[in-house]
Amino acid sequence: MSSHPTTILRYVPSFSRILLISTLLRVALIGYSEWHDAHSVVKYTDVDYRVFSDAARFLLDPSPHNQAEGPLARYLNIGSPYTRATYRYTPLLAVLLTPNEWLHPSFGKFLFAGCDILAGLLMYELLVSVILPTSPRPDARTQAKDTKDSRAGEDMRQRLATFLVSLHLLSPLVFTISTRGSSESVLSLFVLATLYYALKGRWDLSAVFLGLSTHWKIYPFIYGVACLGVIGSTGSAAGRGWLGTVVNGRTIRFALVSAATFIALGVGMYAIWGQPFLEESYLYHLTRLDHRHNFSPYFYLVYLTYPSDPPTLEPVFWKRLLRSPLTSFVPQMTLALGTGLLFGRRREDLVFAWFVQTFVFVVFNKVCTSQYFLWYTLFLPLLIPQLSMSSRRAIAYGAVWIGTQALWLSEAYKLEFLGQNVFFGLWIRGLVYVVGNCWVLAGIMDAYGRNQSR
Amino acid sequence: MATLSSSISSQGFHFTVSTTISVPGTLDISHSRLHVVYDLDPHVYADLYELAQRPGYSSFLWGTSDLEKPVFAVPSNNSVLLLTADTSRLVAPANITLDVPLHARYGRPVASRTTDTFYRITLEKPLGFLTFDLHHSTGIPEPLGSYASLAGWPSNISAIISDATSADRLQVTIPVGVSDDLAWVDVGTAVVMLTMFFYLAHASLRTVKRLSRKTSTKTE
Repeated sequence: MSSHPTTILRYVPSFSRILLISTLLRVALIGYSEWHDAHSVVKYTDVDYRVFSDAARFLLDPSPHNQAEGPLARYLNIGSPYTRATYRYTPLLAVLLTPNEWLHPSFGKFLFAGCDILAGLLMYELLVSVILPTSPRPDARTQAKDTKDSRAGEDMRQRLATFLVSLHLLSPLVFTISTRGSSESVLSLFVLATLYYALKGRWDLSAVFLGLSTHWKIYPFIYGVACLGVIGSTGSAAGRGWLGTVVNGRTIRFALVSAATFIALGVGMYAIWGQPFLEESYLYHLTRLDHRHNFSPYFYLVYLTYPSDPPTLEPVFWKRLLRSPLTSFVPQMTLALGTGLLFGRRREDLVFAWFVQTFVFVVFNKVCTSQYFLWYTLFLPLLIPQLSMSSRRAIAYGAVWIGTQALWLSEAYKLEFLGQNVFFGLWIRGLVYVVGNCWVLAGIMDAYGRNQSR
Repeated sequence: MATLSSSISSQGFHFTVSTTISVPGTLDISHSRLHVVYDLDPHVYADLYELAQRPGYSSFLWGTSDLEKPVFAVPSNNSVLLLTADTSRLVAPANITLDVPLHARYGRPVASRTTDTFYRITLEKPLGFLTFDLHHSTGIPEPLGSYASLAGWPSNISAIISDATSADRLQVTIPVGVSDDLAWVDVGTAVVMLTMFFYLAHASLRTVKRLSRKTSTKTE
């Protein structure tokens, strides 16, 4: 943001100290989770962690009812993580968590916490080497100032970077998600690595990480669209017009490297684990129907129109149109990809472009849980230096973002745990969540780039 | 003779059936196994992976365990959950309590709010029985007759544990959706999402124009 209270920054500890505090906090919480889960029926550990751990165990323990089904499986005595019901992830995640079986059941939590810390390191490096130095440069007269001032400026930059990264590392949303055993931090690390190499201009490496990120979870493919414009706007492709900017030798190379990485990983996984890998990791997400309540207002529509046996076709055409998957998919993809093309013009805008793309993807998705918020809040520490808004406005946006969630959660509690019939009210609050978040996003867009020399 | 009593603590879509078996000192269970069977209405499901984390018993399930569908999208027949208590450290007389977490699926929506917008799920009371460890030729007691054909059902049943409580069945009440709401939900969801789509599209275009103007000004 344009006004940085330097007095606050004086009290910010060193980055190494923040890293140490963040690490110790996570280690303590993982230790606590072991004690808590052993003494309480209500577990600290996320249900998903049990899914990952079970999948890793099945992978290591093949049996006649638990076998990998790919063409190469006959040469490998290996089980299938998809023997575990509701495991809908890449087999790589189960492979990563195999030490849960032979080392310690909490290994995965330490891995996810470690990814948090590495992500913090990447953020800090990006802030001090790329993002903060692109703030308005001094003119020729001020360049003559002595080195003491430039050292002071560098010190302030490091403190600001530390402060911003600590917003992420010390965020309860972040450290509880990883220490409870959710794997979101692994994808966050891959996405940040993609961004890191993109901002450093190392597009081949960025493309590889984009392919890896998309293999892990499909949605990061949207970032590739923003990258095309940035790649095409530099070098010999610059000034060719929009189509020439997006389609040229360099962008084609980026797309091919990214696609090749994605396909190579997919082929490798299919070769070992076969059709269940395709069905559970990818195809399931294309046809899934999330009828249980979640932040997205689509849940109630899905519940009331859930296909029954025998299926009944809605006779009225406009109702069929309203309920069609395209009615949700088209706006979501148009915004997610369109904002990538609109804002992916300069490398300095990449953080903003990815933030907006992810935000709209989450808000317009047919299902949304709290973990999805991490997908775009990840970019906030990198985006804040490029935003210019008053403290009052920032507080208003924060209050609305948190308030709409609290409004929904209070009603969801009544439904799920008290058994009150609040389906309609919960749907209304889902709409309020969407409207509130869109207002916040529009405000952030309005605040972007006002303090930069462009 | 051992006796059994069950109760249910209900909280919305998640509830726990607690079954307490009183084993008298006169009963020698050193060569027996203690089982409790739960006949689950299609509205109710047990998460075997969750049960595996519970101490004091092992579990087996016949029927659908699909956690992700509403009741009208799963087979309409009941599922059967069998718990086998861990009696390795049991010294009679003693009480064993088995707490079983169960969950409710979303029910079939009702047509309108003029009808009851809740559904009462009725659960058959849990049935307890003992089996011999060693092979022992016995008949199948009548209450367990319908389960005998299930693959892996225990044999060598020695005795049914009588139920000490008076109430016949356990009940849980869940809210259900209202189909009449669809008129609002159909249009309301589409209108809001499309309005927000255009709102953000406009905000995006406004932002990119502003950013482009700044870039052009700098170039000039």
